[in-house]
Amino acid sequence: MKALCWEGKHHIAVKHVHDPHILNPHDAIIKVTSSAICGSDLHLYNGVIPTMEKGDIMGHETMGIVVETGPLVRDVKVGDRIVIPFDIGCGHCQHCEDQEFSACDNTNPNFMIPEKLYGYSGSGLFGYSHMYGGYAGGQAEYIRVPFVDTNHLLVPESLTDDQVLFLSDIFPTGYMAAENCHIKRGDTVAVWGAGPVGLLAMKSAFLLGAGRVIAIDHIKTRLDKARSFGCETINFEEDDAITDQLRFLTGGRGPDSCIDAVGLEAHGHTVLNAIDTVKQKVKIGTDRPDALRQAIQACKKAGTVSIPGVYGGFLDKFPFGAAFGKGLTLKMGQTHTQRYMKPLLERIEKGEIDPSFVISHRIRIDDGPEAYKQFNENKDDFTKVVLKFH
Amino acid sequence: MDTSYIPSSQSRQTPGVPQLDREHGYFASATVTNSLEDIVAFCKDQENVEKVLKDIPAKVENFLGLKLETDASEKDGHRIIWKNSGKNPGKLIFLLSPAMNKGTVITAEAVFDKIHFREDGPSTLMNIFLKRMKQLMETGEIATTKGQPSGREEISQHKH
Repeated sequence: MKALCWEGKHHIAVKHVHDPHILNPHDAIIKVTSSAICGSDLHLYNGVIPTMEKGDIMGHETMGIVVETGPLVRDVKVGDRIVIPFDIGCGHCQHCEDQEFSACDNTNPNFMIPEKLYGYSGSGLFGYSHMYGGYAGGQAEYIRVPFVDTNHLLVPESLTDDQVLFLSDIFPTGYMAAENCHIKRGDTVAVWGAGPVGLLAMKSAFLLGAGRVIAIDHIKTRLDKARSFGCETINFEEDDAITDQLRFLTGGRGPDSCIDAVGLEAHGHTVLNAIDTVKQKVKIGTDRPDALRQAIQACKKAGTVSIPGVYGGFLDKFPFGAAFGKGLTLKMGQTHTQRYMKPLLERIEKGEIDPSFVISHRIRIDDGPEAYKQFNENKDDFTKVVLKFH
Repeated sequence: MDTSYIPSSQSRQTPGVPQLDREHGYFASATVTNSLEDIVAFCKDQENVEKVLKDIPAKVENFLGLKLETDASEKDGHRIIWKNSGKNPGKLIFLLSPAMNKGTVITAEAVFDKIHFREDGPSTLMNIFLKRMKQLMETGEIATTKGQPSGREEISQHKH
């Protein structure tokens, strides 16, 4: 089969590789129909997430048709059309029983690596480094799905791939980010990053009762998209005094909650971000947390900072004093996707939201390497790229 | 706070259990959702120990050839011993006690006259061993990516 493989920093290649097969009794093999490139895939592309190996198959936003099942699979059959969550739950451990699927105890075969780095290991993830299990991803014609009974959402034929594909990651991720804000009716929510996760966090914030949502980014087309469904916007390249702007816009209080949908590769012209960038380039620093610094600084007293953006290592000049001094609540982590898939599917079926509005490009796998390059350099207004198969 | 579920150093020294010896004993613990009875049944199946050891990232020679010796009810829970009486004699002892909310805490202790590890430290290896045992107990399989496709094994043409 054809697959998009990580060959090194800034190098993705289409390769002919072996088809996957059943390795464990709860596995299924899926013929992929659609698979997206996520903003977090660009962290891999840029080489800032450790433990990638040359030849790893990319992709964690995937859906398709079941073509084979292992002998102990009960809830999925050949021919079913399913969306696959990016995090892999076993369905049996205490965390899975508590609906904390991305904290699953049993699906990361390389649990020793995160245990050394983080103390404990989360679940395995598709296509997201060996630290997260080294599972082959879904930017390929076929994918093996472990514990498929836990890791699938059956989707009705009445909905297109584009409408349901993002239930695999970015819609639940944006929704959980908004849910973590504990929004009260009429609240003001500020969101750093108007990429796909940020845009879906903004939409979700409105769905959960926010009165105002303020989008912060530097890409005009993304801010236009946010404005199209009622957000106010701040372009930080036109005005970098974001905290002052937010204070002014919120009557001197600050936003009730702030969402960092940027993660470890923040852009911007602040002195601290310039220092972070140099440190990251010469490998004496890991993360560029400038969006998070701003979110903590801007958030109102006793407010909440929610962090769906990915972080991997150690954060320098982290304003913990401000977080403590204002009594902030910090909520973060990989999404427990399976918890949200069904209720969010129902919102799509009811017509409350159509996540496909984030798609900017639909391509074939052979165009994948160029799409990564363009997406990373933000050429041609790339917002969300979907690979189409079969 | 009820601490009776926590295996204390005293409970490790229950009559019949070898006394803790820091020179030769190594420990790890895990909480599993399985009942105590399920674990006893699991541990009685020699196939399971072989599955746990298969493809383990680090090997310990002492663990090879472990056989179930006995299980017995103790005042503070169950005790199961896997014994190796071959080239590197010693024991792997599992103490089972109810977890606070649900499931069972397994405390594993390796006691060998001389322990032979090929890689990693003994504590790391005990942890790996117990985590794989937990995976197999809770899910019926051990997570793996061995045998999956990758660009490291590119082929000249694709089938589909």
